[in-house]
Amino acid sequence: MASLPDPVAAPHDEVFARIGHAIDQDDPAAAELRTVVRNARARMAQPMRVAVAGRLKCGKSTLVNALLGEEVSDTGQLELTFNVCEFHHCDRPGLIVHFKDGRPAEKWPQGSLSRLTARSADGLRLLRSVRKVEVGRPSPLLRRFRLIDTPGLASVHGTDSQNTLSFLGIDDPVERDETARVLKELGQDARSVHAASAAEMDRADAVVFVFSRGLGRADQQAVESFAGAYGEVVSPLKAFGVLSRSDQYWPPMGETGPDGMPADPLDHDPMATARRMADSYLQRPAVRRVFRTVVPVSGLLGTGAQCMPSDEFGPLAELAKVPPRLLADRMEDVQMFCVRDYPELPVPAEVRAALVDRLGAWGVFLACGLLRDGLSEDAVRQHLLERSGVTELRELVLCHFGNRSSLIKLDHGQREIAEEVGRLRAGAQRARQRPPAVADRVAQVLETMRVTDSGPSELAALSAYYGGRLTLTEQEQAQLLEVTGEHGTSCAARLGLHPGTGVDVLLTTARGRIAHWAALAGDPLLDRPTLTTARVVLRSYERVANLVERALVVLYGEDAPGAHHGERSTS
Amino acid sequence: MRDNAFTRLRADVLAAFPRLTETISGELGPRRRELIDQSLARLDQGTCHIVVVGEFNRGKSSLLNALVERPGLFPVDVDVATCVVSTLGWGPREQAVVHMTDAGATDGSGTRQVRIGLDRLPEFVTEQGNPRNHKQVRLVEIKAPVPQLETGLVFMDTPGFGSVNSEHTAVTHAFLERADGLVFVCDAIEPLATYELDFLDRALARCEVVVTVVTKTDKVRDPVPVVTGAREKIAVRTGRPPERLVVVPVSSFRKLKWLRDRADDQLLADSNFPELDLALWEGLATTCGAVQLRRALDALGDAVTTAGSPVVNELAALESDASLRRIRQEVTETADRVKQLSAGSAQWRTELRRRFDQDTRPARTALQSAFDAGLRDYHEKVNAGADPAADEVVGQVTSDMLKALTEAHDRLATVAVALMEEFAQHTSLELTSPQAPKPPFTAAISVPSVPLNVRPARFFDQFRASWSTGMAGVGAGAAVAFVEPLSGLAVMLGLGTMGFVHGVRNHRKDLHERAEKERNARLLQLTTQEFGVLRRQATESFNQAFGDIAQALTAELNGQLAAQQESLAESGRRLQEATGRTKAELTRRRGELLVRQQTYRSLQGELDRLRARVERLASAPPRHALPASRRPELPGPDAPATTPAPVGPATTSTAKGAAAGVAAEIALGVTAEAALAAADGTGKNSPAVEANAVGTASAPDAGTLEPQNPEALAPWTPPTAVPQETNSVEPQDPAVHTPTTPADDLGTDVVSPSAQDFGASFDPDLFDAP
Repeated sequence: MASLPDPVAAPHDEVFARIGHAIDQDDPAAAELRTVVRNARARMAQPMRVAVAGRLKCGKSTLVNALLGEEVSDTGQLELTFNVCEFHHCDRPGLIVHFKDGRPAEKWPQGSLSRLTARSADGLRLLRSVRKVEVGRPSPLLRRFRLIDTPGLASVHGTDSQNTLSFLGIDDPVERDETARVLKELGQDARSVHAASAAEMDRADAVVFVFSRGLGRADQQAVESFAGAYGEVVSPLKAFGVLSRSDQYWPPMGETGPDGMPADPLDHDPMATARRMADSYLQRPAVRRVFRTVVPVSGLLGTGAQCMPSDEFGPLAELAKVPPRLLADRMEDVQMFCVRDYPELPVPAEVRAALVDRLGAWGVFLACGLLRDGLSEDAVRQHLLERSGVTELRELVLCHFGNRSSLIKLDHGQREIAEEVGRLRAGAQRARQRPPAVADRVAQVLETMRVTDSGPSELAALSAYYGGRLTLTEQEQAQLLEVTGEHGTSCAARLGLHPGTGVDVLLTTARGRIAHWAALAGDPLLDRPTLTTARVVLRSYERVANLVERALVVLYGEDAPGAHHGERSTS
Repeated sequence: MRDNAFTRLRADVLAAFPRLTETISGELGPRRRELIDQSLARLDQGTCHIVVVGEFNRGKSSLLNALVERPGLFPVDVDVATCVVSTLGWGPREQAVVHMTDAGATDGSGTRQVRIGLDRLPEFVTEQGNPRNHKQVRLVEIKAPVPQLETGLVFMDTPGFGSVNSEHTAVTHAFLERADGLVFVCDAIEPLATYELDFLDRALARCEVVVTVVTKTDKVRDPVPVVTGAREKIAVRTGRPPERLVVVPVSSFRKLKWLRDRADDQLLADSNFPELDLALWEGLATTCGAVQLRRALDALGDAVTTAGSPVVNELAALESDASLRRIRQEVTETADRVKQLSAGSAQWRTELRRRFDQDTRPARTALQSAFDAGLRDYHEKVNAGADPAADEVVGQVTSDMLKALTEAHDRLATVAVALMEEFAQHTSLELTSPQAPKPPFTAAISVPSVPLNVRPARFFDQFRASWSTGMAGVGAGAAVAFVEPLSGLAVMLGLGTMGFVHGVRNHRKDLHERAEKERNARLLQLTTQEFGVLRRQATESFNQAFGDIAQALTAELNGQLAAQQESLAESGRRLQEATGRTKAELTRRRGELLVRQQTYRSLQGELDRLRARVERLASAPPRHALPASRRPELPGPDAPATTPAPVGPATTSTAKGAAAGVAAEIALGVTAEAALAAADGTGKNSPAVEANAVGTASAPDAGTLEPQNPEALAPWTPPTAVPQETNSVEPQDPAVHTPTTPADDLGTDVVSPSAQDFGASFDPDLFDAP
């Protein structure tokens, strides 16, 4: 999780500098364009912004808590769920509140926000004026990312005014009334909430989309509208799905044994079930077009593992004394476990219920098993966190987004600039004037870079891959992902080798790959997208080989074996 | 699932058949016997169809398995979704028949059947084994020797409504139109979603018996909030009082666990399945159950009346030589008239056909204009830029067409019932002489009344045919329209829709690669073609249903006429015999007849008691009774007299017309009684008979008799004389002799104030737990 300098970051920063050069500082027509370019350039130096999106109340905040390892997101208070909440790294916890009226942001002491309620007139006025809350936390993850908790994304289908709240995905009529009331008090409505979330997603570099339950119509619609409305922002490169609440598949209810009875909970893994659901979810083209993968996670367990107070381990240890078979039998019926008096269980029903609230039924059962095995509290926490899928999710966020963050940010910036250029041209057209020269110049720079710079072309190759437009073997697909940084940005990672691999092996591998992809790039029968991609991959391998060669020279000097065998060298 | 008021009553009615036929076998002609056998078979094989609907992953399959107590019957898996319609009913052995589209089918039905073992079900019914129904399955019929299904329960597992494929919704709705009940499945984990509530709202307007089942109560810490929430939400969304909604939380897990050894009764109670069974049967009893039982009792009543009329005629004729002559004369005349009516050339047949044709014309027109409107709508949408093959657009047209067809069928049935009533009156003749002590038997052709809470079409389906005959059609490779279990069109169209949308989807796939413009134009053309096919199918289905119903009408009337003829022939024969008898012979004969008459009286009493129980069952318990104002309007101008009757303990919820019919029938029973009593000049009733007689009057009153019919009761006065023959009265249902019911429990205005008369109307079901 340590923040390593991204080796590819520096050259891409020059991209925006070059575009900046193409803009005349005094050109009044390019004022907006200059801001866009400046922002894009500034972003290259900042951590990437990852938005957590999904329908209202689908477990986004729980997931944010689990990722950060602290209960930072207030999941309980309805008044606060409609604000965008941005988490960034800060050594001392603090709050920065942004206001709607544009007045300067204010620093507030930590926790002051949740003390505000709509019940007092002052509190209400303040709450109404809040546009966005920035929370600073000393979490290591936040060194690499800013996490943005968005309030709720709606389905774009429900555009009629009476249905604005179902539009937000609130299906429960009672809840809807309550939500409508609170929103009204806050001076907002469902549309503004959606708009805020959508805008936040537009600004984000990457998106984690949370589903609470696979394949339901509501989620399905959300994904489709998500893909439809944010097709530009969201590609498998920049988004993946999270199937939250995966622990709901324990005790097993979907699976049955050979006798048609529910499977034995004793060694049932709900995450495997959720994985299977996520995979079947990924079978759908609509989903595959949008998400690289869908990860099952139990946010509740992940949060509980990190945030459960130590004193709650006491009853857990008591419960762990129960033989596993008996405990599994009792827990199989969660409701009864939480209400019925079982003399054979050492912990009273209400304490059991509290434990289930904290960790979920599966979490309690798992924790008991771990404690029975004699693990320490910390080890139990660590294990639970791993089983919850949160560890894997963090790694995925770091690999998938982190290793490519500069690429993603580069793409994001370029896209914004291209949009601005488009706006300039369209504006001129409407005014029946020639488009400003600066627009053409910038467009040309963008075009040139698209052809020459490796970053954008790698990105294009990846989009082609995720868009299913390539005809590559599985091995070639894996190599494409590796070389573009899926598993890390070191030479070894790009070659799909272990970090400690010897330099000579690296070089041999790189040359082997170059030969293969050179052949591919010269294949006259290949379709155009694959051919283009093959060239991109070839160049990327050449760059890796070049780096390795230079490392060889550093290590062994000019006469190092194999140093000059490479026929190609990149400039 | 088997021990409840309805199944007990059904068993009692079934048991009444052999007892009755045996008792009156002497007077029962072969035609009448045939009608009784048919009626018995109809009741025995009668089915109640319950549509089971639930979103993906709500525990529907587990619920079904737990309901029929067969773990593993339906494939259960978290990522398994149903993709086709399947039915689960009783069969002597486990097997499934898959009906698949096969354009090249040799019998011209367009389908082909494959028999498979239940282990292969997932290959056909799940989205995983049969993605997007590429195997083009139209229906999977599953049979299993499950005791829970023996009483004729058929579960129909539909692909649902909210799932990813929008055409599934249309199919589910089509089924719902014809089902006797709906089990709506949601779970305790996720609260009800808007589209689920929308579906329920629509379902509640269409289906009388809706049981919302909240599954997985064992999987959450506290299911109460979700269950309460579900009830409240449905109430808010549908505008019905929450206490009238049937929401049952269950745990399939606990039920299945209980099944392991069936020992832990606490587990069974915690599963709450007994409550579900009760709710289900309570509801079903008011719809299909009551209709089936009424129909059976009608047949038995007819049998008693027609078989008894020779006894009445003969008794009346024995009064004097003059009366014998007169009555002979009348019987001969009536027989002649019936003979004319029965003749193939009888005018009423052509008239019936003509009237049916004429009265159903509006339905036909409405159907065609609905189709036109649907197509116009479709073209407008496409012109406005909609994708000609978008599931939503296509789904809308097909579901509109389905709706139109269902409505048309409903109108057909409504007309049929009205005509049947009318023609029954025209064709039925008094089978007893006016000379026989008054008032004599009246019309012996009864028309089963349509209960208020049953759609005419559904009623007519039940009236017309049973599942078994429908299935016989399958075996013979009959036309598609007769393949379906429910009746004509719902399934055919439902399945047609699936096949149809599937076809469009395939075309769309083929065209995917082509140019956008060309694709759209071509798709529009293809889709319109498919709509044309669908329209042809639908029109054909309507025509077939038309012919089928017309035929059923005539057949029913014919059957009844033949039985009447038989009865009259018997009267004639007996009178012929009587003519030559000596005085001593006549006196002896009279004694015999009086015994017979008592037998008939007790049979009639038994039937009336059964009928009273049916009516009580059908006058729904409060939580099922729906406010009359929320009733969907019956389509068409020819709606039968089904104005709402006040729902109360002393009246039934049947329509006024129906109530009047029943009242007339009771009056008939009572007057028959009076006739017999009066004919029995010297006879004296024993207390037992008196009790019986009073029971005859009071029991129906408990359920059905409207106060405005006092004249029907007037001729009857409690007899005071006790005839010698009472010893030979048939032994009655043992229950009748249990004189422990307080009269209040009957909830009736007891017509006769005579003491101890309630014993005869005792009804075990009054003691059923609410």
